[in-house]
Amino acid sequence: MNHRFKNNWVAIATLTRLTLLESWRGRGGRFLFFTLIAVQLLASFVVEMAVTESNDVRLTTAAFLYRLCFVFALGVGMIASVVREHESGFVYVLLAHPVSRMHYVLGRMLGYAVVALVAALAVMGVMAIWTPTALWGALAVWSMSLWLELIVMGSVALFFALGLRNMVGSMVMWLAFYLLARVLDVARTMSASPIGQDPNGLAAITGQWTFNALGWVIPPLGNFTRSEWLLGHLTPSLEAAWVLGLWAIAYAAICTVAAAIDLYRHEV
Amino acid sequence: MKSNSVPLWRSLLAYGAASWRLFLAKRKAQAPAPRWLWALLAAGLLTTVGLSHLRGTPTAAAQALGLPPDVLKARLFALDDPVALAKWLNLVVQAHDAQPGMSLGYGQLDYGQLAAWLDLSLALDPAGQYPLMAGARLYTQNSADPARQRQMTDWVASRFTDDPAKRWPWMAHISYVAKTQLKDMDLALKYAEILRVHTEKIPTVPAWARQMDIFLKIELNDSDSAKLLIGQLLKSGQISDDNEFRFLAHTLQELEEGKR
Repeated sequence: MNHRFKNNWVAIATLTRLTLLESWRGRGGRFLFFTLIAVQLLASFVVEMAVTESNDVRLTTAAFLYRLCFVFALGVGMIASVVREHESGFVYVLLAHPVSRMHYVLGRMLGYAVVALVAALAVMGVMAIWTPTALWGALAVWSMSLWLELIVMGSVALFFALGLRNMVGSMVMWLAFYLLARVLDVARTMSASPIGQDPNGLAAITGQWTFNALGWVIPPLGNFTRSEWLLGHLTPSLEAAWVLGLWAIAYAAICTVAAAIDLYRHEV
Repeated sequence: MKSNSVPLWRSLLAYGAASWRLFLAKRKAQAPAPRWLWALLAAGLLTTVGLSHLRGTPTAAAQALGLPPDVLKARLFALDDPVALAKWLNLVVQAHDAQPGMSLGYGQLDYGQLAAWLDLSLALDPAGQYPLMAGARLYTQNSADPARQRQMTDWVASRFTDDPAKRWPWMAHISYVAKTQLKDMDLALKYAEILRVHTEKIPTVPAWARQMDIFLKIELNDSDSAKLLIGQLLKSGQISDDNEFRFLAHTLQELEEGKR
């Protein structure tokens, strides 16, 4: 049993290391460095226009842009590398070794989670320069939330990339998922109280059912990584933070398992 | 001893020329494009020039701000990050008077639309002070006519009651604007009274703001009302600072003696 565990762990650790190496050699470090600087330069430009609340403008602008940049960069990176491995046949070489398909999926996901952690910690380090010391706790919560959001979107990217094995298709589906997950709460609120529609009409009821059904299967990413936390208002309670954290981990696990099941179904 | 080495500028020139020759040689090595493609390219360029000529030179024209979307649509647009959107909206609305090719005076802006955008910003970020600062300080400047200034001070006053503990500085400021710019003491007094009524039980609001209407009444020679207000304030026990108590008691004494 112990021997089996060791073999599994060696395979997963090797693939995790491979993902990290690929990220480093794909100039991930340079991208991280330049993004950290570019966003701050852009925020400085925006701050120059503000008459008051300058630091609030800087923090919220940087928070919004960091979140968007890293979600897109890491998601696109995951899709591109998985699709490339399938198109170049590298995944078949991997699977010809004593590596199971589950090992492949877990190795990819763990490697991605480490890259996301490095990105979240780097952002936290830079944001700490402008965040008042009293709000460093809120910054830590925000950074943790950023990491979880990156993990969720990475697992979704893995799921679509392995399922579709096509760059454009996977990108479109992943992007649609992200937009829907971010605005899900707003869409549900709008469908619950339709304006200019009969609330008991078929269209209104169908809309409510559709968005409620989506609410069961899509995590409300709009509640994650909110900029106002960095300003000290509306920081989530401990209970809410636990719920969001568990939700993100559970959803990442669901997508990873679904991606593995899909990979097992595919003929290699 | 005379050096035979080639000057640096000649080396660089020779290198540049060689690179250019290599570039041209590479181009020549490719199959030449058909003549009709060149003709098509030229026709396309000519069409662009013609269309540009037909369109003429763009002229600057003031663009209206328009009405904002509702809160939910705005949240959709911002991927449900309302505070970040509110901060950017403040800057965009503030910069609306500086449009390409022209600078608008506040007197040319539609203050109804402006107030609607400031409302949207407040709805997205209720803790934000920026829209109220812009309303109280920027849009009450003299480049706006008194009617517009009054519209904006009324807007600030109407939003003050939602959060008096944080918004009192703007209420105090519009009272000052009404007194010094609009020269409307009754309006200044009205704002100062609203300020006192909503903040007299909030200890974080400084005394000068809470007691603003008293001194405006003194200025208006309404010493009876001023005496009544100061008397009530002294009896209420709300004043914990000894110096402030002494100052108000002294003012009351002066009013009773007819010295103010």
